[in-house]
Amino acid sequence: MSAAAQFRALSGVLTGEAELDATVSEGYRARIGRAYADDLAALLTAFEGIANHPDVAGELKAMLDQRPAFAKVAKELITVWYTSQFTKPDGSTDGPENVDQYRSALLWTVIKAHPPAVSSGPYGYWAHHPDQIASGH
Amino acid sequence: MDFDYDVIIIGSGVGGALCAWKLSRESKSSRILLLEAGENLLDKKTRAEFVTNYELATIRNVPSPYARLESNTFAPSSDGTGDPIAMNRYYVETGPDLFKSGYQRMVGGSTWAWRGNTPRFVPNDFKLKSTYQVGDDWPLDYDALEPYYSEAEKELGVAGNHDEWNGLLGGKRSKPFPMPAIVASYGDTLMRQAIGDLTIDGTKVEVVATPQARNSERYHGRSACQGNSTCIPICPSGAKYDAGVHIKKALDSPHKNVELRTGSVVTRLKADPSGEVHTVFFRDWTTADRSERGVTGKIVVLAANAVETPKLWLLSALKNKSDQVGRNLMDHLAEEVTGLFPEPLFPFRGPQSTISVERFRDGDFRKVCGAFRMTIGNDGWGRTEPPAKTLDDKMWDAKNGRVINFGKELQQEIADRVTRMARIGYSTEQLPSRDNRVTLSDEKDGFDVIRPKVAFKVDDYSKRALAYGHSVARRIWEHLERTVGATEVEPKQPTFKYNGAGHLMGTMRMGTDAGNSVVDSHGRSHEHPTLFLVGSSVFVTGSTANPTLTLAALTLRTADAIAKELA
Repeated sequence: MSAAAQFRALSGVLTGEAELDATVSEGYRARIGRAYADDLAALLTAFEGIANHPDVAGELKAMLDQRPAFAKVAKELITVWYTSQFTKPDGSTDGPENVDQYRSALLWTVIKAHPPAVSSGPYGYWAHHPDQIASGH
Repeated sequence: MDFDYDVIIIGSGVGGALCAWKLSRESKSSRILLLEAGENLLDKKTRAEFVTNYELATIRNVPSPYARLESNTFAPSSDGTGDPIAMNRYYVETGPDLFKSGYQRMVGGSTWAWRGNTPRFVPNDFKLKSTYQVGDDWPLDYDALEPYYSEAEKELGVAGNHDEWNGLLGGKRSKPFPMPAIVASYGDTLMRQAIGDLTIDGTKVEVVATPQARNSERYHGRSACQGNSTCIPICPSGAKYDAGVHIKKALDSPHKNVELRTGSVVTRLKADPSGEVHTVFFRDWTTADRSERGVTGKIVVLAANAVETPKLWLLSALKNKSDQVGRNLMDHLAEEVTGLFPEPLFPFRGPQSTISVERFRDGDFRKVCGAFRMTIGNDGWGRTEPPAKTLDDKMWDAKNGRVINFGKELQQEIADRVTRMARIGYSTEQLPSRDNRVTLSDEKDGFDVIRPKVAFKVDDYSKRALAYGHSVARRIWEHLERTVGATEVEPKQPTFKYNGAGHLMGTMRMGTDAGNSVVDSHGRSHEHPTLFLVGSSVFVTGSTANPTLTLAALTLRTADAIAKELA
């Protein structure tokens, strides 16, 4: 499995999303890689060993609990997928590189809203339950 | 004497823009110069760039869309984030409390970043002294301003519910709103239903649609609101009114009588020996030498805000016999009580707020305690627990450095909490105080202009308003706890950790007596008769209403007076 595929597979388990955008994923792999190069590489290698396990989430949880460095990278990896930004080792914020990253932030999908400044519908959509809009009612 | 222009207007925010536009129509043969320190375009591309800047910012605060503007170096302002260190990069604050509101020095001014709420003052706001023996009375009343309120609502394009607002707290409306009210959000409707017929201290907690300068249908060539949920700090669609609308209208005048000059920081005004002000000096930071230049006008209109206007007045050493220049700085100190609704409200969809409670804006309690205006937010707990914090709390055990939760389970935990968040905010009244004032500091900004010094104290009247606002908001939440099972209501006690509302008012108060006011009811300086002021700096008291509509109405009234003078 390529490093890109490994990163996307790990991201899938951490976010719970099966279909993560490949371009955004590569952007995040590069960004997290720059900030946490060794720990990310080690986590991906370790993940390769459990990727096909029937309980991959349980195995991953155990691994993160045992290795604080893995837990920290996993935290930032989840955070970047949810918010398009994460905290670097020096405490500074690594912001989105492009609007596609900003607009794909998972946080807003999870709460059935939209990224701020990116409307999800025509005038008045907000008066309705989001599921009603999604189903076209 | 020959003048370069008939009217020079300093500042292209909502006051300057409306003034320029109205004079361009009413005083057709006049030559009007609009001077602006900022240097930004008003086209779609610029707006889109502001949106992108916001999206790519790591801290998406009010100035974030505009942070890359070169004008920030030459025409700086407070960032309005309420942070004492950041604020002090522009204001020199002497306390004892912090003045937490900032503004945008841009073509179009702070309306780029406003929320767009446009309630009118209530009649008693204009006669606080005679009704409640506190504050002061204005030199004009609600009825005198009412036709201009209607005109301002038409010009800004206000969506509202006439039946809810006509006669509200005594405020009669002569005309309907130009557009139907903005439709309430899904969550707001649930909150309104749950509040029901609640009465607190004998006052019914009546929930109404907030009038907003935001299109509920296509209006004056702009689209209906698309619900991008970033009214503050940038409306991506332009459905929310901003002063750019009237700058463009003024520049497009068939009489070709308005000129906009940007990048020009006004450094001083000069009065001639008779007291008339005709000369405006400015420095254009876009030129090579940035040297000071003078330009003359028959009439000069100072349309900066309640900090920049007194700053410029004092820098110019203009007359101040009343000793009122810079005094009575006011804001609407704002706090909120948050809670979890029992079922999802789905915030962060649509305008940041659509409904409000107006009934606590007036009453006998104002004799001892400031009034307040309440809004029900459509933006979760944005100020106390933004969604990213919920993510962090649910995912990460900071103490032990462990990932607590991930995958679908984490998604569910976040969704369950954030979708049920609501806030009830209250913006409170502040009395004018002569010690809350803007003066000149000893420090200079990036363009070598003296920075404003701000002294500010939250008095007991305002603190009681914050306490009463908290009490009413908390009791609404207690009702929701009892009736529908709301939880996690916070704070339990008033904190007095107010936010600024971005409502800079006072400092150049109007009045009939030249001994205790700076301008008359038409905004004309008592001591410099060719100098007019527009903007909320002329406010005598602060009311509880977001100030833009009232300052717009006053500006249209002032423009009439100037047009008459020019005729």
